[in-house]
Amino acid sequence: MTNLIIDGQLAENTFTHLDDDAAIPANGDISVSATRWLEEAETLAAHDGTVAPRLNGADELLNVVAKLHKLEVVCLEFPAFADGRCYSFATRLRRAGFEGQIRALGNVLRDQMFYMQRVGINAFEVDEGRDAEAAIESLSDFSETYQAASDNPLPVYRQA
Amino acid sequence: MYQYNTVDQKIVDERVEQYRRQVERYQAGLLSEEEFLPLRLQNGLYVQTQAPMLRVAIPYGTLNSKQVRMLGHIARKYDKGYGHISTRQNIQYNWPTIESTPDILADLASVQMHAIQTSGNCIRNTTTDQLAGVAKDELVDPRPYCEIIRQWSTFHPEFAYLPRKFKIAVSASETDRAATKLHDIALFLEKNENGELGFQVDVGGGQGRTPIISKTLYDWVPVEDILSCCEAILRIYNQHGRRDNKYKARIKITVKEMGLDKFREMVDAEWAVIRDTGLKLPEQEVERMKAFFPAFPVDADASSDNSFAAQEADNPAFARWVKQNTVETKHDGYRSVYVSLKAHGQPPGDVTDDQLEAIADFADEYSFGEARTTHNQNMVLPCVKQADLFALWNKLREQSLAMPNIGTLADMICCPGLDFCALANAHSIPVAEAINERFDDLDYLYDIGELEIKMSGCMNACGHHHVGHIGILGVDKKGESWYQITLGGSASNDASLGERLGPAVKQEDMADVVENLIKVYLEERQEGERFVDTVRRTGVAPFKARVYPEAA
Ligand code: SF4
Repeated sequence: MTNLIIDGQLAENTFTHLDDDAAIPANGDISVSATRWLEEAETLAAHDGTVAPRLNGADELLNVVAKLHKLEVVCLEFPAFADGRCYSFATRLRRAGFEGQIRALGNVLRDQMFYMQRVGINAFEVDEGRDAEAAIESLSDFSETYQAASDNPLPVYRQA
Repeated sequence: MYQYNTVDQKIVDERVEQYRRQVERYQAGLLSEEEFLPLRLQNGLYVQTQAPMLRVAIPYGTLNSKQVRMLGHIARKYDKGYGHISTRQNIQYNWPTIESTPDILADLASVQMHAIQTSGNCIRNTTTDQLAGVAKDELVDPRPYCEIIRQWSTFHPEFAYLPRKFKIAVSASETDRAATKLHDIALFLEKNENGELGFQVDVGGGQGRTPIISKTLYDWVPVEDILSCCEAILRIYNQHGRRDNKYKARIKITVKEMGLDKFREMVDAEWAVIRDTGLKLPEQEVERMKAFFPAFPVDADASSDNSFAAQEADNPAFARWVKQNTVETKHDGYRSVYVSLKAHGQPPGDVTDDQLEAIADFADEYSFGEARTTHNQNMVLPCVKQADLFALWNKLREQSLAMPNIGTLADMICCPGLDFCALANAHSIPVAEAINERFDDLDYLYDIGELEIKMSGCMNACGHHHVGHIGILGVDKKGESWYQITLGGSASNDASLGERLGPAVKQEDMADVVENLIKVYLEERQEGERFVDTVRRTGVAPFKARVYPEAA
């Protein structure tokens, strides 16, 4: 069964997430590390399929922001669910005007997904062995929010 | 004080339900220990030596009587009949079961309370002056600003998985009563040269293994830009704070390693982008928030009463309590009353269910229905008419809440230590008791004067030992409790870290050591000097010579 949720719905995963030493397939949707994405930019530009850069919190986000207009999908990798750096990355991507898909990968668990959604992540590859369908419920854990975030520019304390 | 609207109430109610489902999944084996950990922590639940510990948030230390009563109810129903006021103005329960925590949270939600973000690597409860709103030396009431910060920081989606915990304190008075400079962000409400209100913004203060006094990042930030400023600081910290080593993960280390100027440069750049967004705080919103914290409707003639002076004259014990445990407010004829939680034979900061209920009644009867908690682990009835003080004093005495020891040696800060805390290296409560027994003569205590003893059971420094006039840190030596002593620390405007006196001493020698320190002070002090002033003037040498004669 699929482990992918896009915009609150289960979806077929068309992406292959390539390691740095894996060969690039002839076609199909792929993600590559931020480093590889920069280094092999030319080859990747000719690829038949969607190419998404894959960042973790240690990568330089500005390299991606510079080319955002060319991108459909950006992958953010959570090496551990407690590593919160990519929450700020998602905020910054949305702020830069990115309207494509921001996909969370790695240690993605339902209990963090509500916050992930609020900062602008709209696709989740739920960690292996977890029930993605059940995880969808957590996206509606709260019906109200306090502060401005990617999903709502006005905080509750600004009511006037 | 602030009243939840339907949005606040709904968020808190939904949080209880979310947490209830998480507990169920944890008990069904669907959530691992590791995955459940941050979820329970962000709902205030620790697992301690003896049982779980639930830490309930008391936003900026302000409570209404209904809430105080509920805290008593929880102590009785789910605990062993008492709670413990922490140095972060929160209340902790040491004996609830994990299964009962969703019900406790639901009870709390019914009086607009919660345990959200009282633990975990997120933005914690914002703290401030326990005398907020009535203090004579205050520029403005800091609580409306605290409440705005509370709303901004509660469930902030981006900052729930920071490198480490994050604490914000606000001070608006001449005398800093909230240990503000020991916080990750320290905000000081101040006016600029044009008379406009704003904040001095400090960063990087903290205790723990590497105690650091905060440094000024911006001299003055307008009120309308304070949230964008804080958010910029948090965003830089979230991305650049160290995650490889828990002991180097606080923002104080980020700032130290990066340098204050470089850190400021990064915050400046981020701040510039978000300054004019929804984070802007328009004046009418601040006004709306201020309306929740109106001045108490005091009686303008309160000071014309003569009974108070007569009762003081007739009753030295009452006069002593008034002098020691109450302070003037900005309202003539009203005083703030410190409810001492430092009675002998009771762990500092502990308060029973009956006491909590009594305090709730006193708040209703004498203090406009409000009470406060303090970082010194006492409570306060903020605004009591002088004519009512005598009656209140008598009632407090019946509850053992009127020990006239505020600000004295007996008003120790003391963390739970080895008796309750899983992280502890040493006992702290029995040491506090031993010291208290040694100094049980009130006249002697008054002669010694203002003295802050602060004690922690381990390096985490929950008992603020670095900033005690006398700081005591418990260490473990082959399974025994030993203590390192520092002198000359302060958490107030003149914030400073104590200096180490010498090698650790044994538990059974602690009362002697403190007594010796006091004797040196009494011999050395000059007119008007407090203990800490003498230490600052003479240095630790004379104290050291007395405590370690063999080394001299
Ligand atoms: S200082 Fe240490 S022993 Fe004391 S409460 Fe904190 S963690 Fe526990």
